[in-house]
Amino acid sequence: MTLDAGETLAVVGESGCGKSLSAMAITGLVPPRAKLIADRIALKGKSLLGLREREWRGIRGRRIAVVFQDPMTSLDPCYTIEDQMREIGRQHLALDARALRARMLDLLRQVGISSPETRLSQYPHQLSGGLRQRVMIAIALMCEPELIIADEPTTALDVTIQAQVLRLLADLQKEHGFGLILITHDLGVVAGAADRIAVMYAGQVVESGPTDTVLSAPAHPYTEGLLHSIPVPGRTARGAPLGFIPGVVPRPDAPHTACGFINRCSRPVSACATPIALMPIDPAHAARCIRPCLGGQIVERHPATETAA
Amino acid sequence: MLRFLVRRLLMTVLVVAVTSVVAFSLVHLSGDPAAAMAGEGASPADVESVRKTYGFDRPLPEQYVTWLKRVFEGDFGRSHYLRASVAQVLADHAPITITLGALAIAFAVLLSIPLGVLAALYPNTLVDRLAVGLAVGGQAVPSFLFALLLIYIFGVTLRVLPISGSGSWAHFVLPAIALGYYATPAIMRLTRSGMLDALQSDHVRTARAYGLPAWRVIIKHALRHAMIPVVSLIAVQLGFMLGGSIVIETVFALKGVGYLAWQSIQRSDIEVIQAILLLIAAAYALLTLAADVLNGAIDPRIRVG
Ligand SMILES: Nc1ncnc2c1ncn2[C@@H]1O[C@H](COP(=O)(O)OP(=O)(O)O)[C@@H](O)[C@H]1O
Ligand SMILES: [Mg+2]
Repeated sequence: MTLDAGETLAVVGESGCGKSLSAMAITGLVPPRAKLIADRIALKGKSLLGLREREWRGIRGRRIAVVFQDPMTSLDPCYTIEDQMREIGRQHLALDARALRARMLDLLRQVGISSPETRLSQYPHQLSGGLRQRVMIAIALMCEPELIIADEPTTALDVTIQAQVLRLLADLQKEHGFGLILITHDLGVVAGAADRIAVMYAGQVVESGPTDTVLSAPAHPYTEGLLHSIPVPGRTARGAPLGFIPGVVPRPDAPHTACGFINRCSRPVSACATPIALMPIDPAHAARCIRPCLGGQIVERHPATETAA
Repeated sequence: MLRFLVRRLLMTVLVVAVTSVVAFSLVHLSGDPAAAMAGEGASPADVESVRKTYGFDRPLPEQYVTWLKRVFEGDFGRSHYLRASVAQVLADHAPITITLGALAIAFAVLLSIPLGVLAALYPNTLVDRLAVGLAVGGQAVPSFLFALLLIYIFGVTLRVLPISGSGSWAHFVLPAIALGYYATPAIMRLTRSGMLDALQSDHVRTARAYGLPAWRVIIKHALRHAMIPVVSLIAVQLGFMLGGSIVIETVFALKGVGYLAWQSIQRSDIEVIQAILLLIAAAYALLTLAADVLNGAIDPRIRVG
């Protein structure tokens, strides 16, 4: 996955396919028993691999900020909003108490919170889910990060609030120019929101490219299946059954001895029984498939000539 | 906060009231108190006269009310064996037990909470095993045996600490360790499991993702949550210790409440037994209240509606 400054990358895929884990790996945080192995993780050209704990502290929250899925639990219930914002502000910003408080109030206003003084003095459980997610976004903005990872930021919210929060993120991005990794299992929100898409399956990126290209001409059969399973106004006929992908996602931690999609694929061949690399289709578009669909045609590619990742 | 306090306070009063009834009934239903007080070989006439003098011939509810009235006036009656007011007898014994209990719980907390945190930070490693082993050792050894071991090592072999009596602070060291060690496994295990949960919680992940130093994440954002059930457990354990550990007080010749209770039961010193039961119940209820208030201070969801 790559992301240019100020750009939005949508990471899509079914629940459990490794979106959160892969995105959090960018910040060096993986579950206690997981081991982070990567060829390259870099921010603005500087490698983040093998950083020391101290060095990570200069990155996390400061240059890369995360907005988590569940605003109900991602704030500490024991401290007021002010306590929590101040703790993070103090960690990264050299502001005196008064300037820091002014900054917190300003941030809360920026995320559309109307009575910021009151909110500052409240505890998370006194706020609605939508408000809490706005507070999380305000915290993310605290240090003007270069990258914000929003991990399904609207999944836990009421439908009516979801659109508001997504619009807020887009507006803030225009204003502040941060890069945004928007993780979602909902292809419906991607079209207007992302510059590029990475489709994940079983722990791997199986297709990546510009949003329009991937949505209009998916190369990987998994992307195709995903798109057929959601109704698109104007394309899906009224009353026609929606498509679905038979079978279940294999565990992302299973060893990749074959194409991960082989058991659910509509067009498998025997050559699919080896690990498949992510292969470029054009400079901006890539798919992890030896029989991708290009320009409406299935094209045969040769895995032997490509090195497996 | 006020509503929370009032509610808890009412609960406390209710608990003490109920236990006072139970305590009173137990003492009176477990045999004829007049016969017990008159002693073996007393004539029926003697027993009758004791019954009259102490009001045991009145209906039980009436006796209870009379007793309660006196208690409210601070009069716990007289010990017929020690020939002194019960209040005085208790005032002589309680400080020893309170000192012992406070020191024992302090020892238990200072040992088991750091061990529990350590075990949770390095789960299923040698550190974890050692911490669990050290704490659980307290449960494996009977407390009298552990007390005797302490006496043998520190009192007899090394001769660094006194082993009996209550003359100085040094006298409380060994008994406090012996009594406190018994409470460590439960506190340690609850701390460990609470920390394991807390360390995996979403808000701890947030704190880490925002670059807060590890120790701050552990203390401020994890330990605080893990402490909520532990606080309640500590209150119960301290209540148990304030009830007096007969074994520990006997082994170290400390004339505390546990020792007094045991002797009073043997002497059928009913007024003393009743007073002790009531005080222990009150201590338990007050400690529970204190734990609730403390938890309210730890977690605003408990206190702010
Ligand atoms: N690259 C990977 N290697 C090993 N296991 C993985 C990998 N990615 C995901 N997993 C496993 O899959 C589980 C679900 O991943 P997660 O990132 O939570 O999925 P999602 O966010 O897409 O729902 C993780 O808990 C982890 O055990
Ligand atoms: Mg996820």
